[in-house]
Amino acid sequence: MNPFLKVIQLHKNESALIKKAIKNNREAQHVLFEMHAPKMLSVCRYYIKDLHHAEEAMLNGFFKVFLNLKHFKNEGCFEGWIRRIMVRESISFLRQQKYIEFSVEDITINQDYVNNINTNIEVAEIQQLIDTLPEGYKMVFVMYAIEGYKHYEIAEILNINEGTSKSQLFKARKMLQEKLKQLNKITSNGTH
Amino acid sequence: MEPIKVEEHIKEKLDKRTLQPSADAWNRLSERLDNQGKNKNNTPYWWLGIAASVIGILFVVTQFSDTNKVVEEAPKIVITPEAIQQEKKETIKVASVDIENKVLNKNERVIYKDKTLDNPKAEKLLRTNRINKPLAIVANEKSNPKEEHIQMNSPELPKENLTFENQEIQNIVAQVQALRADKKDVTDEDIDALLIEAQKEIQLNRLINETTGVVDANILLQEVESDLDQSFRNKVFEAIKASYNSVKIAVVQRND
Repeated sequence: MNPFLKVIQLHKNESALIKKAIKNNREAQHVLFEMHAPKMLSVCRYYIKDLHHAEEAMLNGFFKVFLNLKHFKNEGCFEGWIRRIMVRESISFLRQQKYIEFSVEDITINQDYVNNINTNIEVAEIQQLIDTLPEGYKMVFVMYAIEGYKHYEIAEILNINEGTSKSQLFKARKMLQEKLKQLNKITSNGTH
Repeated sequence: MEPIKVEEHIKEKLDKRTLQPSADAWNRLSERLDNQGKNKNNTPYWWLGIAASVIGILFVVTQFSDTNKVVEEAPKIVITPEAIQQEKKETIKVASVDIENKVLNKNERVIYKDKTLDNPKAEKLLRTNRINKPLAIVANEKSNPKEEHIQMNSPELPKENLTFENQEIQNIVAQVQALRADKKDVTDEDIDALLIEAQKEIQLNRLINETTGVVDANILLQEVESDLDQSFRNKVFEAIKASYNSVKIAVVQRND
């Protein structure tokens, strides 16, 4: 079967499932959950170090997804809509746990510092690196570098100003750079 | 190995990652959704309860306000006809003090014309009786002046055309005549007794409403008030009279 037709079929299926799920059809909701839960748990895991807590945040997110499914307009991507809910839910969880701290500092950002490092690390290692970052750094870094949010969006969601968002990103990158260097050293020493 | 942009590499790797949730994750979520559904179903009942209580309160309030209105309006309905009559009587009383005196004089003349009454005491008592009932007489004069005029000219008119007071007067006159015929000598006590009895009957007749047969509270109150006024006035006059007499005696004794 043509892959393009497959995508259309999947979209049709998803739209039908969403319509059923809006009418509180538990089976349709279950199918949607099974389709998106693994990806969404991964998203929540970006922000929340503990997997059980990440799953709790994800379930809270899905609960809100099914409650507000009638407000979803078919204009955008359903996965993107769920993903935004998951991000907010994860941040909300961290706020409840009072993990978030932002050091307010305005720093001139130099864009050329971290992007040219020889690395070929695995996803588990990347997650470990991200986990070592302070919560404020981590959130801004993940939202900006992985989720693709703009600074003004991050500032709005986290209730901070754009300058803080930028400084947090800068610090996060700097810290990651240091850690990647260390990791490179270890791997290069290991290979030699 | 070729250098790559770290952030792009990280993004790519993380985007591809999926994490399988625990086996009971869906059950937990499903349970929450079921509970939410139950709560949603319960919500209308709560609202129904609240709405019912609000309606109940409104009903009670309207009931109370209605009863208040009835209480406020009731006296208006009951009083209106009588009050008009009462007002008429009052205005007649105030506006025609002179007429009252004239009526009294005329009545006196009527009594004088009646030659069957020789006893001046009886006449005096009859006169006081009229003074105690000026309102009735004046009302009678106003409402039916022709009748009174006829009465003045012919005191022997049939009883149907006379007021209750006049009937009583005629009754007393008839009784006095009868006593006189029997005993040939009518004492003051006899006349006093007859007059007091007639007075009580007239008062009772005025208090009882002819149509309903119920004692009129307003008239009763008016009677009491007028009695109180009169007694107070009498007391003042008596006090002035007594003090005047004592002063007079003192002056006379000093002169002596």
